[in-house]
Amino acid sequence: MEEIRILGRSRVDGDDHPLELDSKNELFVAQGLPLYTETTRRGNGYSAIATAAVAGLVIRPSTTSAVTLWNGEAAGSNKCYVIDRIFTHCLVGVNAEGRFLMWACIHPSGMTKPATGPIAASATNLTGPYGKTYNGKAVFDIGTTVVANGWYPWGYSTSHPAAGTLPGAAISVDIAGRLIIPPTGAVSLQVVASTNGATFCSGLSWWEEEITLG
Amino acid sequence: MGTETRVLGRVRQDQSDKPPELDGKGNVFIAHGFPTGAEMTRRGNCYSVIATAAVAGLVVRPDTVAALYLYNGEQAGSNKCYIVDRLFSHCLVSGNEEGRFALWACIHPAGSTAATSELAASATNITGPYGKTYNGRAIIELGATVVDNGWYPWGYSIDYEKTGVLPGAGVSVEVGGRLIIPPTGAISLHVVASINDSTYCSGLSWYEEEIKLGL
Repeated sequence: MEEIRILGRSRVDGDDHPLELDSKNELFVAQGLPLYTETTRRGNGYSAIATAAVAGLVIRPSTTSAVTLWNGEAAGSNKCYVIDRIFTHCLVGVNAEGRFLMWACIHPSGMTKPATGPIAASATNLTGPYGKTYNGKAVFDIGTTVVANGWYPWGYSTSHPAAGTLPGAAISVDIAGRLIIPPTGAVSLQVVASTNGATFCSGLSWWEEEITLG
Repeated sequence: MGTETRVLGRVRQDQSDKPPELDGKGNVFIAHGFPTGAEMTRRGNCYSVIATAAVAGLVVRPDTVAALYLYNGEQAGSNKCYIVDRLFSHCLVSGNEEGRFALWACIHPAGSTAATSELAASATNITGPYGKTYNGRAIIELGATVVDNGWYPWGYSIDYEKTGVLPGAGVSVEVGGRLIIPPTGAISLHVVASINDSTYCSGLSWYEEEIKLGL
């Protein structure tokens, strides 16, 4: 079998050097730019946040979501939504010590488009990277009735102030593609809190990509 | 089947040539030659800024006032973008009662208004890696009036000291390039807190790179 040595061009001296391995023959790599630069540069990443706060649940979520993002691309297409992060802002806590945690549920292809007051894309609640306007087919809704397709906790809980009904507490969870919404599928988010008086504005960031699932 | 060729790499330890190894599914094993931020820092185009005066946290979602506004002063139509690496905020004084705070950020598109009351670069508040002086075109303003182009929370909230008016609490969020400021665009930062008498010095780190935005 023919063997070839792969050379790369050094950024430092401009010379060609062989790619280097460690003592276990693992290829050394280096990160040229921050991890998410390329996905952001391509411009198909978007974020949405609820325009109205929803009370946290004090039980595991089931058939009501705080927010739902529905993938409005044509059934059978490959335009998927790759979830980057999910977040929530505690608009008001309750006058008692309490914790809260984010939960998410992926709904498979074939989900009916949410009909109850989807939030229109605007300059302030559904936006793209580097100020790009959203012109995709996502539908973002608050308080949707959904099928319980499996809810799971994400991230770790944090607390809101124990005295007064105060804002300020927040959560942001790196999903990094662990959740993907297929065309006509959706993701629902909900907050589970210690008491039922706390309210939350939840949202998420995602990339819209052509990928074949499976 | 076409011609098969074995690719070789140079083993750093003994300078022998060996094929990179694969796992059972054909994935090539890799090893980080340096910490992930080392190359970006080595190149020297990474900068940080932190506010010189503390700004009170908001008790509502941010909209048209920024605690800190960083404007990309590169020429419109050029490709010199600011890639945001991390955001941070230091609670200079807390509010003598229990409370939480979290960072929020807003990206303003190309064509945004340049910052006016500029925060001058100095050896202590706008600096580069390994002590490099800042000589770029970023303009930083504290308390700027801005357009609400969409604010989102970043990172987890944390609590500040509840007894006394004390410093010490802080947050630092790894953005990792998820936010990019185009030429004549900007980023705004603010803190949302439980009460409105806690104050914060916020800032960020960014890389200045020639990249073409879009697919």
